[in-house]
This record gives sequence, C-alpha cells and structure tokens, in this order.
Amino acid sequence: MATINIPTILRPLTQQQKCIKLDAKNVAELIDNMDKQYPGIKERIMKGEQVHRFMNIYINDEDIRFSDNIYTQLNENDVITILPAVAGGTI
Amino acid sequence: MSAIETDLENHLNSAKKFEFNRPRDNIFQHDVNIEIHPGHQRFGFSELINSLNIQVEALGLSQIEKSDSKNSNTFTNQTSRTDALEWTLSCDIGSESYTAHCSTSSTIENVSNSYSLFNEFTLQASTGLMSVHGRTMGEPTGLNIPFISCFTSVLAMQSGMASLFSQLNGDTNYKHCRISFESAALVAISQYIAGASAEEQAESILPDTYSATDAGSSDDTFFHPPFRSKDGVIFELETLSVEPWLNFWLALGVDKSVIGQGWKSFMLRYAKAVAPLPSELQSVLSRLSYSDINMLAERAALSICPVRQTDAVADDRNITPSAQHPWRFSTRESISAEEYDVDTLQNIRLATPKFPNAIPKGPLLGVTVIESCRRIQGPMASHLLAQLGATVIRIEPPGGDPLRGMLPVSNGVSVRYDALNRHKAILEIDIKSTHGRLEVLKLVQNADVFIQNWAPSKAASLGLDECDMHKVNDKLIYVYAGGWGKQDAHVDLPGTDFMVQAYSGVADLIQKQSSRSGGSLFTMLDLLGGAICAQGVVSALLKNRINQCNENDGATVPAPITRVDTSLLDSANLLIDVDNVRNQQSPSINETLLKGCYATLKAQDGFIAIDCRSYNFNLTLQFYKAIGVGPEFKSTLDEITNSASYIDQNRQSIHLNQFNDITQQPHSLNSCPFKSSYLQSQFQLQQQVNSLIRQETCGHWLDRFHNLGIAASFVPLGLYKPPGNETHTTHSIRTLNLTNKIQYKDGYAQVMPAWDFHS
Repeated sequence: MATINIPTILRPLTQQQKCIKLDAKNVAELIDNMDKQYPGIKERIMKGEQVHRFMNIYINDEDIRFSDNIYTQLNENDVITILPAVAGGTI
Repeated sequence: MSAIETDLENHLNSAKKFEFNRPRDNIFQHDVNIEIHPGHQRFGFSELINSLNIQVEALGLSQIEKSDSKNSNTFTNQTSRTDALEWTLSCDIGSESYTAHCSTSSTIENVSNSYSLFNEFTLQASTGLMSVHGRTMGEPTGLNIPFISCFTSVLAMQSGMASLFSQLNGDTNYKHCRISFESAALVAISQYIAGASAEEQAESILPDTYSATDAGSSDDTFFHPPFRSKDGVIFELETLSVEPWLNFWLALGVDKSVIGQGWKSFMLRYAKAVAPLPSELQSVLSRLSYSDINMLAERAALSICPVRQTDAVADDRNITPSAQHPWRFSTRESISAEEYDVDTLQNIRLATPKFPNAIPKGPLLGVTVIESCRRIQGPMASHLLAQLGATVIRIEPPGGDPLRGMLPVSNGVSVRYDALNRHKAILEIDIKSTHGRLEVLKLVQNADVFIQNWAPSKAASLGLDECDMHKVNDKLIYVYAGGWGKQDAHVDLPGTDFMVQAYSGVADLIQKQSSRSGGSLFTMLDLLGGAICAQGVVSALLKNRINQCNENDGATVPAPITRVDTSLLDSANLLIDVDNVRNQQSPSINETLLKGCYATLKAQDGFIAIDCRSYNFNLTLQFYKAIGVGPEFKSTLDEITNSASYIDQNRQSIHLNQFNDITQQPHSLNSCPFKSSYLQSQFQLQQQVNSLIRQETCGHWLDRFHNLGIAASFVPLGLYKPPGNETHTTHSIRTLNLTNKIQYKDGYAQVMPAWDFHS
C-alpha cells in the first residue's frame, strides 16, 4: 500500500488528512482511486490525461516526469508526494 | 453563457474602441517639490541620494534649493536624529501648502562626525542579505550593487508621496515618515526570514553547505547556475515547464534520472536562492560551443541568455535609462460617461472576499487595489500598498494559489507565500472562464487600481486588458508589472529575474566581485520591481488627486493617469545606472585593496563584515593596529602606505581581476606588477589577520572597530527564532534595534512595514 502526502491546498478535499494510504498499480490508477474516495481531487491534479503543469508528483523523491509519468509503476511502501510548482518572474 | 453574460459580452464588444495611450513623462512637473536638507552627504548615504536623484528626474519633481525655498525653515522643527537624511515633498493647491517630512537613516546611530558606521556593504551584512546571496558560495558574500540603498530610496519616496496623498484627502495623521535602511532591507528579504523562522522545516538564513546528495549527483559533485560553454560563455537557462528542460538534456545524452534531480533544484532556486545541480549537466555543456548549445536550446524551446558584459549593455541604447525611465505613465482621451455605464454587471454576484484579521493602517486608507499576480514581483507591489493602508483584494485560481503549499509551512500555509500576501483578501476566480472574466470586471468596477503580471499579450487574450477594464471603470489605474518593459516586443526571452539579471548587466557587475560566475540567486529584481511598481501606483494616485484638487479649485487640469507600466528590466536599470556602467568596470585599486581579502572575516562566534568600499589607507592602518597585528609586519604596513601612491599612479594599467588573482593565489606573484616582496608579506599579513580575528568574538571586534569609526557589522547566519530562543540571528536583530520590525505571529517571523508615520 502506497502512502500519499497531500499538500495543504488539496486537504479540504481529503477532510484535512495530511496523508492517505491507497493501493494502485501505477500513478494514474492511484489518482483514479483517490478520486473515488475523495471526489474532485483528480481534477485538481490533472487536466485530461496530463498532470497540471503547476503540480509535481514524486515517488520516493523521484519526479514521475523523469520516469514513466503517470504510468510509473508503484511498489509496496512507496511514498508519493504531491507538490505545487514554484517559479518566479512574470510568466 | 447566461443571458446576462451574453448581453454584457455584446455590450463590451460593441463599445467604441479606445484611442491609443498618450505617454506622460515627468508627471509631477510643477506640481510637487522636493527639498533635501543640505549637509548630510556622508558616504553611507551617497548611493541612496543617487537613487533618489534618478527618481526625482524620472518623476519630474522640482528640486528646491534651500536659498530659494519659501519654506526654508522646513527642517527646523524636526526632532529626528542629526545623522538622518531629511527631506520634504510639498505641493500647493490654491493658497494651501501641503508638506510631507521624510527622514531616512540607519538604525545604527553615528558616534563620529567624520565617518559613517554603515554603508551599503555593511548593511547587506547586518540585515542578512549577504547571507542569502552567499548561499551559493557557502559563506556571506556582498552584492557588488547598491541594492539596499536603491530599495530604501524607492520605499522612502513612496512613503513621502503617500503622505501627501493622505493630506490632500484631509488626513493629517501621516505628515511625517521615517524609514531606515535596515527596516527596508528586512522587507526585501522577508520571504527568506519567513523561511528561516517557520515552526517546522525552517531553513537557516545561511544554510549549511549543500551536499552532493541535494544535487542528486552520481559523482558527489555539484554546481549552481549559471552554466558555461566550451568556449567560455557564461549563460542562464530558463523554462517554467518541464518539457523543454527534459528535451534539452535528453538531446545531450543525459540520463533521465539526473535530469529529474536537476529540475527539482532548478525550479526551487527562486524560493531558496540555491540550485545545486548534478555536475554531469555542466560536464556535457563543457564539451560544446555556445552556438551549439544555443541551437539545441532553441530546438527544445528552452530559453537561453548569455551573461552580457557591462560594456555591451552600455552600448545597447535600447535599455539605457535615458531610453527607459523606471515608470511609464499614460492617460486616455476622455470618453462620454454612458459608454461605461454597464448596468448588466450589477447582476453578477461576487463571493465575499476573506479579509485578514489585521490590516495595517496607513496613508492609503480608502484605496482599493485588485491584484491578479503570481509569484514575487506583483505580490510584492501590492504587499507594499497594503502595508501603506490600501485594501488589497487578490484574485487566485480556484483552489488557491499553488504556492500556498510551498515548504516550509506554518498553520497550513506556506510562510514564504504568507510573507507577501497576509494583508490581502482572497477571492478565487477562474479568470479564463467567461463568468470569471465578468467577475473580474465587476470587481474592478469600484476599485482604484488593478495590478497584473501576466505574460505579454495574455491580458488581451483573456479580454481583460485596460480597454476592457476602462469600459467599466474609466478612473481605474491599470498597472502592468512586466518583465522587459518597453523591450517586451524586442526581447524574445521569458521575463524572469535571472534572465533579466543576465541581459541587463546586473549579473556581470555581480560576478566582477564574486568568487563565482553570474548574478545572484537572490531574486533582487523581482523584489525591487515590486517596489517600483508600488511607487508607480502611489505616484499615479497622488497625481490624479492633485489634479482633482486643482480642478475643484477652478483650474484646468490634464486627463488622469490611467495606466502605469514597470518591469524587471526597469528595476535593473535603476539598480546599476547603466549610463555610468563603464566607469564601474575599473574600480579603484585603493577601494578594492581590502575587498577581496577582508569582505567577511570569521570571528570566534560568527562572521563580521568590514567596510571595504570606503577604505582609505589611513583607516587601513588603523584597522591593522586595532586588531593587534604584530611588530614583524611594521615594514609591511609601511609598504601599504608607500604602495598606495604606486597603485594610484598605475591604476589604469592594473586590472582588478589580476589583482584579485594575486591576492588569492600567492603562487602567481611572479607575474605581479607590484613588488613581490610587498605582496608576499601582504599575503602573510592576511593570514595573521584571519588568525587574530578568530581569537575574539564578533561583539569584541565590532566595539573596537566602531570606536575607530570603521564601519563593520555582524552577519546573521542561522534561524530567526522568537524571543526566548536566542540565536546569533535574533541577537543581531536586537543589536540593530529592529526588534519592533519583526513580529512572531502565525508560526513565523513577519516583517512589519518599513515606514513609521506620525502626524
């Protein structure tokens, strides 16, 4: 079972839970399962089949975009962290 | 789309197209006077006065000579300190005169009439800026540009103008305003102070050395941006989305996991002022020429900008201050009122914004600002306006600004985010939707100011440009805090802090006096850009209020200011005075003799910084004597005096870098233009100085230096813990008399407004 760390801005959707535990084969399935339990959360993380540009998802500190993105496989005891992106300037 | 929305959309689209803006330079010509008290020209103020002068010229303030002033006793009733710079802003409406009394000083009171005990360099040390900038180098390091003086001058000017504005509104509670360099600097680094004080996961203001683990490097080495090509070109890379970064490095054959580690650091550099990247990334670039790297970056849609040399910048007339003042004000032709009368908007219902519990009181009381900005520059602008008493409503996307979740977090909110947004009411609106657009229009209908920092052309595509907004509120001041200002159309690069530093010459000036290449990862242009944006808003508010008052008095007045443009490039130009940048390339060896050697010194319990910019040889000798240099160096000290004349005579032929190389690497003495015996002993002298300083505490040395009139300062390094949990950093805040400028609330150290007003 994977552990998911929920960022502050998504906690209103998880009844303020900071972390939740779920089973899933890969990240895509994990987000689907999260959405079943906490409706509306998928929309906040993804746009269509892609993770929002301003959202980062890490599996044990590895950014999924540098693995197989939402199809990155999950293992037992993986820790998934969802973090909003940070940047500066005017864009 | 509902019937109401359709009606309104049709109405807005059918309304008459507006004429182009008319630019307005020197907006205060004949309206507002400035008088600076003579006799306060000590070294510590020179850069502040220089920056004030640039503002005076750009805004068209009339400078009053004391002898010509009808208010020549302006300063006689002042109760402020004698070592403060005092000045007034005044305007006349009919027979009434209004005056704002301004005072700018250091919190360190001078004991000597001959020397200042502070200057830009020691201010950067004492306030922690040197620690933030030094993060990439692992030790406190000065910025070779007058950031604090410049930031303070902008905040000082806006406090004076806000004071006049409130007086014209009949409020006499804000006639006097004081600001210190130190309190202004704390506002500038308030996000970093927040990060260094959070209850959980706080980061020291100067973190311990970053390890290769942070960079995810496979061979235990790392580097911070910028990057270097095989042919020696230093450059910055920029992207705000992951794909260009990934594709660029993949094309160079870098392993995906290494690219990922690099991305994590790279995108956090705006928040943390560090970006430890795996050394593999620099290794692959070192094998390619800049033109090849440029081509690959273009293919990957990754932005690239070389660190431009200051002489190239000086030759570029497009960006010199004469071509671009920090502010561009414009007005619109007046149009009959009925064209703005959009009754339909009355049917749009807005959610009630969540107002914070404590909102600062100040001279902008009653002014409403709507902000639709992300990240640093725009939020800093409206943060300053809120600290001056304006009501700020911030538009965030549904679910809130993602930066609310950025670590470290206290009470569920990012302290970095909160540091710039805690005074604002928040309204979540999807500005890309039709209904969201109408909500924004409804919101600005009764506002005074709208500020955005969207990418160029986004306003038009959203249907939220100034024309759209002036259709519903023709008095609105529409403000754009952009990246490149007038150059937006010519510079095809993202307008972000580090790109502008590289392009503008700021990065080159910094690297000239630094142990590393490139500019600073401290986001100085975003912060100063925010300050000049706020200053533009206050100027426009004041100008329009003066017009109103004159009109009420029966005078014919020009059309009101309805648009203000500022940018990161404008803030860079204000910071480095591009017109004079050539002169900054060959600093006097006299001034730099100690700079490379003794910028910061490690004492028993921390770092101290010594004034290295205003040094003269007399003070140098006093410095050596003060620390107890042994008699074996008597001949060296004599030679310092003798060499002074040699160095002065040969200044032009000695290149600064050559001198720094020599002082830092004694083995290169053979190629030295000075007498090698002198430099050899000078190097040994340095070793002894370092050793002596380590034997005593910072407090011991500072007392001794201050008694001699040598400017010197503590350098805060650690966490900003609340009172009762004393740290070196909180101790230094107390020493600077700044405890009233930091309030521990909501789980972190909040920086209070830099100004103090009274009636």
